[in-house]
Amino acid sequence: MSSLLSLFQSRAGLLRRGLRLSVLPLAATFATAGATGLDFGVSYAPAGGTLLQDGLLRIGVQDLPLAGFTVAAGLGTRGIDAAFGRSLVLPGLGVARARADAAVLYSGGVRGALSLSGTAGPVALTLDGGAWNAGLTHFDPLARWAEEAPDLRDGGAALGVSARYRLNREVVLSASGTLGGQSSVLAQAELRREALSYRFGVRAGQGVLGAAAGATYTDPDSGLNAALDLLVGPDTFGLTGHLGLDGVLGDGSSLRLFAAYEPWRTTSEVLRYGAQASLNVGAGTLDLEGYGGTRGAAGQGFGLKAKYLLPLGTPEETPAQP
Amino acid sequence: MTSKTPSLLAAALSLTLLGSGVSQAQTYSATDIIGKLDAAQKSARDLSFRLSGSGSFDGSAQKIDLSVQSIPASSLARVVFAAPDSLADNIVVVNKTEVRNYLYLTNQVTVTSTAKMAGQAGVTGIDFSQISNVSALLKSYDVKVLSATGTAGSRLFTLEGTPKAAGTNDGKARVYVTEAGWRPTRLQLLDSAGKTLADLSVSNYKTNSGLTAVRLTTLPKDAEIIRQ
Repeated sequence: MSSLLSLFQSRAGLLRRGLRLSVLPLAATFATAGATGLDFGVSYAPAGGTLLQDGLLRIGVQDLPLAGFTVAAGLGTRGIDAAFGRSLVLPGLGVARARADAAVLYSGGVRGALSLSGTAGPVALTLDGGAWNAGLTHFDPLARWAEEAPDLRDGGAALGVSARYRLNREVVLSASGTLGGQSSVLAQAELRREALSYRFGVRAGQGVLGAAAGATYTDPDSGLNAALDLLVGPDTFGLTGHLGLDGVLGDGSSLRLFAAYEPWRTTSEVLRYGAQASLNVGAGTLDLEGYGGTRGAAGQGFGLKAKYLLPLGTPEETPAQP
Repeated sequence: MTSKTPSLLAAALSLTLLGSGVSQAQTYSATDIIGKLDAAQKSARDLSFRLSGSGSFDGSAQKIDLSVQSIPASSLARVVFAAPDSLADNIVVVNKTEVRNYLYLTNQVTVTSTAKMAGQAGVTGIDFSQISNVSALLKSYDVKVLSATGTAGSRLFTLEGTPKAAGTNDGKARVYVTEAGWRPTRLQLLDSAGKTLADLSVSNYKTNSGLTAVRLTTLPKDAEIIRQ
C-alpha cells in the first residue's frame, strides 16, 4: 500500500482516451498491453483488390524496455512501425510522459507523431502533434472506422491540445482543440452522480458549431458501461455511443459495441460502427474486431481484424484464489 | 513530511491490515499485541475497512477518505479513494510484484513494479512486499505500548512505532488497537516535533466477507496502461 502522501500529491498521465488524436492507430496499441509481449494481427477490408492489397498481416512487439524507453515495433505486409515512450512518475510532483511514433510504408509514405502529457494533482494536460504524407488507410485498412474519428487526409499535419481540470469530487472541466484538417474546439463540464456521469458543453470550429451533451453509465459490479453523446447545432448534428460489458466472456474479457454518426465531419468517415471482443486464450489475449461504415463518397464498407497478444518475460502475478 | 514518514505509515497500515482475535484479561506488551495481530492475520481470509479523517500536507489540511480491501495471504490489497477531491475515484491495487494506480481523471493505469518502488524507498519509504508481513516490517521499527485505557476485556491500546534506523528524527506512527476483537480503530502520524500530521479513524471493519482476488484486482478494461 503506497504512502498516502505520495498518492495525494501525484500520479496521472494522459487525458481520457476520447480526447487524443489517433494519428497512429498501429503503434498506439503498445499502450494497451501488460508486460512485454508479441502480437500477431491480421486485418481485412474488402475493397475490390487482392487479398494482399486489401488486407494486412502484422507481427509486432510491445512494451519492450530498451535503454530506459518503452519500445514497440511492428513488421507488416504494408510497412514497418515503431514507437518509443518514456514515462516519469515523480512522487509529490506528478507524472510526465512522452511518446513518439513513426510508420513507413514499403510503397513510400511516412507518418510520424509526438505526444507529450503530464499531470499534477487535479490537472492533466496533453499535447499531440503529427504529420504524414500518406493516408491512414494505407497503413491500416480498418482505421477509417475507428471509434475516435481519425484524420483521413492523404497528407498533412495536425496539432491537438487537451486539458482536464478536476474542480471537485463531482465536476471535471475539460477543453480540447484540434488544429488540422477540420479544426475545432470542444469545451465540456462533466458531472458525476454515482454510477452516472453527465457532460455538456460546446463544440465550435470549421463547419461545426453546436451544443454537446452526453451521459455515461458505469456499473463496476456487472461490468456494464454505456455512453451516449449528442451534438446539435444550427447546421450540425452528431450522435455517438458505445456499450461495453467487462467480464462477459470470462475473467479479464470485454465486449464493446460502438457507433458514430457525425455528418459534420469533413476529414473522417461520417458513419462508423464496430464490435470488439477481447478474451483470454491460453497464455495471451485474443482480440476479435469487426468494423463498418461509410467509405468516402462511395457507399459502405466493412472489415474484420483478429489479433493475438502473447506476453513474454516475467509472468504477470496471478493472484491466488482464496 | 519527511521521507521516512511514509514508511511509518506503511508500518501503521500493515498493523491495521490484520484481523481479529480473541483476548483474555491480561497485560500485554507490544510484542504480545503484535503477536496477536500476526496470528489473527493468518486466520482472516480477507478484510476490509474504511479510513477517514484528515491530514495536513504542505501546511494545508486535507480531508482523507479511503476504503481498503485486502487478502493478506496473497499480499493483495485494494485502496479506493473518496477524498481528497483531487484523488477521488482513484484506485490503487497492490500485489507482491507491482503497484497499479488507476487514475480517474485520465482513465489510465500506471504500473510500477514493487522492485522499482523498493528502489525508490528512499523517496517514498515504502517497501510494498513487506506490507502484509508484520514481523518482517517491524524488524526495522521499535514498537511500544504507549497506553492502555478502558476496562479489561475491551481495553484500547495505543501502539507507537519509531524507526530503528539511526538518523534524523523522523516522527512516529500510532495505531490504536481495541482488545475487543483486536481491531485497529485509529491511525495517527506525528512529525518529529510531536505534531499530528494525519489522524485517521478506522470504521466498517469487516473480516471474511468473501472477497475474491478477481474483485480486488478489477480495473476498467478500457483504461490505458502506462508502465514505468
